[in-house]
Amino acid sequence: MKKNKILILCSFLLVSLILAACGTRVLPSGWPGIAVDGDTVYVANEAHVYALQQSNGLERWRFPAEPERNINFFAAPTLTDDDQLLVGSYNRSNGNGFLLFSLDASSGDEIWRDDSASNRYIGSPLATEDSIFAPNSDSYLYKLNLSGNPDLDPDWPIKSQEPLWASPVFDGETIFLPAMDHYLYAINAESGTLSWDPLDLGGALASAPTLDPDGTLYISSFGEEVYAINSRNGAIEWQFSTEDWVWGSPALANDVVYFGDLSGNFYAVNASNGNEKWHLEADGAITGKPLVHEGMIYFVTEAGSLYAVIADTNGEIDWRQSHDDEEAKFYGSPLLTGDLIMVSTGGLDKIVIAYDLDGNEIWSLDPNN
Amino acid sequence: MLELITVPFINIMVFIYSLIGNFGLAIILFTLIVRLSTYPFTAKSLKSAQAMQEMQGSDKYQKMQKKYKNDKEKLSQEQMKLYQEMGINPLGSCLPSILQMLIIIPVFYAVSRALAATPLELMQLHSDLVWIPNASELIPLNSQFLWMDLGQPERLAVSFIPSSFPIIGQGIPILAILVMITSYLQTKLMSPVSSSNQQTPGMGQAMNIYMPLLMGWISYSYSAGLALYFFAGNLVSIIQSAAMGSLDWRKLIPKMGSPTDSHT
Repeated sequence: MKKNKILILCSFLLVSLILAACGTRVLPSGWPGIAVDGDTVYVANEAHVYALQQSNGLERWRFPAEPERNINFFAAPTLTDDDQLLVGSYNRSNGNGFLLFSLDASSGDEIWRDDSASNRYIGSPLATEDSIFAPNSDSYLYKLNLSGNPDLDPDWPIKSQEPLWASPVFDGETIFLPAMDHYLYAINAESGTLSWDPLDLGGALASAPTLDPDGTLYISSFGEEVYAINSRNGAIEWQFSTEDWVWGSPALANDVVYFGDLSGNFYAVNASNGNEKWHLEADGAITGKPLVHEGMIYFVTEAGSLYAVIADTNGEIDWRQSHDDEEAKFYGSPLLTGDLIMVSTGGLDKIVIAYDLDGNEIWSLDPNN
Repeated sequence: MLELITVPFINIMVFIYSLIGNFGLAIILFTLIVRLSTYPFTAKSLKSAQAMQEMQGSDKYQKMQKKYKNDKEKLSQEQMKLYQEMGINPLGSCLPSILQMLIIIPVFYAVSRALAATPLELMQLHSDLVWIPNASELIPLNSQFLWMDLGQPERLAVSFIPSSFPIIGQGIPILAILVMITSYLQTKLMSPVSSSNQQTPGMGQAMNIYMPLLMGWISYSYSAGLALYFFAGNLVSIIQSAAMGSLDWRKLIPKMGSPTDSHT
């Protein structure tokens, strides 16, 4: 009997140790969020937000200077017209709320912080001329002014049925808000009232819609569909079926919509009617919005590859740059700044890699070195 | 190895969720399935514990204890002989407990991965849901159950306690308390009665305190979904034992003890 109890006790101790080990540090739960502005690249990853020099990756500042308990970042920062850098945190602060920070984009100094939210910031906030719209995993879209004061109108914050992971987009009057509850909401930015009935798109919506100047919204869904929607009335103009969930936003260029799914299929679809022009099979899941630049389309895969495809062909791959390290995973949307493409990574010590337009690695950021 | 257990657990939980649309109930039903599938081991263990209790109450055992009270090695040898004679496996009674311990970690991962509260967890869930057709219609799973968010540590907010108050300032951990109480009842009611071997009662008493505290701590610190699994599992174990006639409610009242206590 004594042996039995010792065995059980040892099992408990083992389980305690393993569970305790699970909780001792915050494991990466998102990929680095990147934003670019002129010659500065902003990267939100784990304990810090970094401002880097675009040409060589040298660090200009980091926030906070030293890691702080319970503050981690993954959502891509957002720049306002008055040079604030907005970035939401992934952890509950000591004061209970999840923090949205406003930083001075040039120095990294904190301007204000808001702790209204009760869950993670996964989607980036939207900044308009005079307001901030911050989607949160607690299902609320928070509205603040540029000084960080919440809108006290009883119509705000707006609540969906499930978490908000995607950034909203704004056409000057209406906010278009994708939600994980499968609905796309159209909300009047001033009054907070619905402009048209929420639209069920058959699956979770995890990325921002792309708004065409002509008023068409292109939005991807986990329901294995990409939709073109009339932003004025919510009418579906066409929908295109894919093989798997579509996570990243579609990109629009020259009347063609580009997007990829989680099985690694990359599609080019006619923006007017939703007919497929071509598709290719990449080496891994595609989670971000493709980058279209000077007749080329760039996208990354979870297998750690950066693809360059010639736009006016039937999906001809100009080059593919696969990372040497098999553990490398590329997530999110590649961003262009100057003549460099910024790629956020997972599975490596590096958190961001800058490639030139021929796929050569120019610099990378390893925050620990 | 862990993945081999965790991935089927995730699929079973999500499949149940697809039928009933409530993840809290899915966890409870999943617990029932786990307990029913490990029932043969539990039953064998309870029988083994009962046989052990009977053996410890027998005259032969008591005489042996007195005869070799100054020779622990010989006593141990004689005890093993007696186990063999009576067909008792001394390790048999702890197998279900160890099995449950080994299942905790995959359950812990399965609950948090099924709820997929972050992008990388959702990417992982997408790969995990290999047996669920139309999984995209179910995602994200609704993590609300009663007052709980099953993906977060459970607290019942109460307005009259200031938020700066230690431990319960963020709310009362009702589920963690229930897990502690049911764990205590389970260990107290189901643990075999100690023999006259004086080292064992101390160990048993330590287990009766340590296990509920540990389960309570895990339930307090980790997701409510895991705590719900513990709570439902404890209740099922107690009910299973009661149905088999293995519960001795008198153990809850120290003065009454159990029939075999009189031998010690």
